[in-house]
Amino acid sequence: MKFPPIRYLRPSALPQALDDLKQHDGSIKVLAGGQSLFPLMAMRLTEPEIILDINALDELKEIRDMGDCLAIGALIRHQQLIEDVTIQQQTPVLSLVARHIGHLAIRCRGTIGGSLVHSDPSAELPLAICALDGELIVQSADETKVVPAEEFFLSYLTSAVAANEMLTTIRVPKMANQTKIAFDEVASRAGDFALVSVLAIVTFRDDGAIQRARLAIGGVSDVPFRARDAELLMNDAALTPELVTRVARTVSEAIEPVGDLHASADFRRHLARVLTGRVLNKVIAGAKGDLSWNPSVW
Amino acid sequence: MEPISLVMVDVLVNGHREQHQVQARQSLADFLRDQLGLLGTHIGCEHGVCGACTVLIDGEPVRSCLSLAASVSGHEVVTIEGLKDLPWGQRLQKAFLEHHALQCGFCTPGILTTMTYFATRHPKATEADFRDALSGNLCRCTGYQSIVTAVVSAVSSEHNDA
Repeated sequence: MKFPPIRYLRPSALPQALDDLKQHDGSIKVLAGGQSLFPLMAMRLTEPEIILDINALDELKEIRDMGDCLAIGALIRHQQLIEDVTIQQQTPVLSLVARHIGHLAIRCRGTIGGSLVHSDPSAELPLAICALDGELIVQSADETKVVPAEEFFLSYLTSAVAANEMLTTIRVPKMANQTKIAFDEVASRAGDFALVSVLAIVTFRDDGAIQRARLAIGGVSDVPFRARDAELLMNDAALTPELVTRVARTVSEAIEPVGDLHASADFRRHLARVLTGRVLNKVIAGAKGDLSWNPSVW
Repeated sequence: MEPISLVMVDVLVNGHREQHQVQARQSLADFLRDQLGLLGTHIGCEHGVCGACTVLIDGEPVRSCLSLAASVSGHEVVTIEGLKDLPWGQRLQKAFLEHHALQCGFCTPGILTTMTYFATRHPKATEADFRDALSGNLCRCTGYQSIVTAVVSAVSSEHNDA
């Protein structure tokens, strides 16, 4: 369907945009890439009165090196996460998972900020930011907040960003040395939303044991699920096939997925177990994570 | 500034400067078809799934049904009508003709714009890479095989010439 009637604003500086949000509090919606917002509008699932197009805000298009983390502007597009050399080197988890978002044309337009604020629990970037314990910079005309990832995702399609606020920057810790990453998901068709997805980030000590493991599961709860019990099992242990089996079982027991049209609760639980085993075996076998698809190697 | 319902758009489309007043809610796809008469951009699902409406904005493939006409002001749009002026656009069109890579032609504009971007950006991509890049465009006639054959032949003949 055609979009519902709207009024349009395209500010050229961030303070102006934040003022607009304050002035039209509640009736205004931020437009970043539009790849989730426009389908919702086309299907009349949302009908904002005013669209605030932030695509002219150059301050949201920067990737800055902050020493221990990267500060990624909310308007960085998924395809940039895949292709940007700094992101590939410093926060390769983002490049790895972004490859699984939608299709090429969607990735050329969709933004990291938009995906996070949209807060779909089966989406790849919310999962990655949760696993990485990223920090979200949320601004309004009156204040700037730093929101930790675990407080940012509230429920299905609900983030901590209020109607008068905007997510402007995402702080992502750089990947530690001796870290291996792996991601896998099951979807009905390539590019569809994942039924279940699993991301593992494992940092090893010099003696080969695990120093710190991070494990996040998508599509099994209303927000991305951090499998903390399973992480504790892994810390200080050796990543053996036996441990992988135990961790996968722990994950499947810890989650409480809800069945829907696309997959039953039992099937999601099964997928979480199988995918957890699969990504941890990739960590055992693999190098830094499978970046072989990456355009930089062509 | 106050929010507005009618927006002045100033955009370069296939090399021509276009200045039009549009409704704020108008999609880029409707703008191209209704205001500019460029009927080659096809509207299928109108919510970003089928890929038929894909055009190039500043050289990158974008769903024109998931973009506002108002947002492209100051940018450059290339539609299927302008693809012949891009080196890879012309090569791919010729290959599509030779390999019977279309039947009804509804999906073809979106597929050609997407493949033109991908071949321009990644001329050494493999068949698997092209298949992956093609995954966002639905075709209900060809079964994709002849499309893939056409793209791969265009890419490999370019390598042989080089």
